[in-house]
Amino acid sequence: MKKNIFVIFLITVFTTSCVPNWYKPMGLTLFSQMPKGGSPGHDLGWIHGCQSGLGSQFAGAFYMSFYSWSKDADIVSSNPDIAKIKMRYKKELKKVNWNDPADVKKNFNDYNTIFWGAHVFCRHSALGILQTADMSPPLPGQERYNPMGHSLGNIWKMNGKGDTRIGTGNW
Amino acid sequence: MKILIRVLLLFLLVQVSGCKWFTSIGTPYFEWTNFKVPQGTPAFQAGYKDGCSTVLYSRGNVYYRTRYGYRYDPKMIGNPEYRFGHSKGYTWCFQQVIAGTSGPVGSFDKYLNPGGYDPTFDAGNINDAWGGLFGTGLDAPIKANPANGFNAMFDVWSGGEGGGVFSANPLWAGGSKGQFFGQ
Repeated sequence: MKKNIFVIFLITVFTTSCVPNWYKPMGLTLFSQMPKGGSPGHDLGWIHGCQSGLGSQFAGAFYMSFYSWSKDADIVSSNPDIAKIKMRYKKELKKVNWNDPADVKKNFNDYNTIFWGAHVFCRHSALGILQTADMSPPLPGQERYNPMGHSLGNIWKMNGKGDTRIGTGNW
Repeated sequence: MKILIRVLLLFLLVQVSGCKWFTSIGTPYFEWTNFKVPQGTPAFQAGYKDGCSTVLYSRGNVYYRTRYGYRYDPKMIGNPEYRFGHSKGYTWCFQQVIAGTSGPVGSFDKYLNPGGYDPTFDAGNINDAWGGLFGTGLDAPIKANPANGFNAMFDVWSGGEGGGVFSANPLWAGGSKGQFFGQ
């Protein structure tokens, strides 16, 4: 029995760890939605965009403790230092053909193109779930979590924001 | 087996007739969280659909999140029509879904109530309603003073000082919700 639990634990760890930031708030939920089949630049841009979005004040101080601005200034530079970028992202960009300027350019373009889309999606996802529960993201310096006022169960409470179902008393 | 067939027929009937019950009254949504995709090139429509699906997840509530999620076709990233459609779909549906879920008159089932849920319809605490209508004398006929008022007959049940059948006056049993007779 203990052995089975241990195996399930290992499988869980190894399967979820394929998703970046899986151990952070909403990490597994959001980062697992990154579309498959994109270029390495696309994937890196998506991850950086999502991290940056969750690190913004849209998501609030709680998420800002775990995520931060991640856009790579060298990749978005008008005159990128290719050697530096290649060294920095050995693993993430290993499939890029660095000897082909067109491929390098495409990957950098993909990075820039998808960055803001992922940024918007992730910050909205964090803000959206808070607002659905009638909560507001706290700003830095404010109380981040009030167990009395901020029930995590609010997120799943459908009448947290104007439920009009019959039988809820709102009709 | 007959029961199963009957149940399936019932489901079919509900599905078919459901298309008539809930229409997209002034919203871009059909019944059950579907949405309209405007006319355009296939690439634009694909982008619009993906963009709308994305925002229905990110700014929708748990109800929308069961159906939608992030959609973006990486193979189309170089297609300006797809990107344009994605942007338009996200923006348009953003305006719609926040009104339906997290807006001031939001409601997860906005397709049922296109105007949204109006919180001013909520009775709240009836003792505080309309600035305390029931505490300023206008409610005298139904309060305990005079002692033979409408409210007084319920004192028999709620017991007054000596306790009674009910722990509270059943006339006001709604408590903070303020309903009469708990309804």
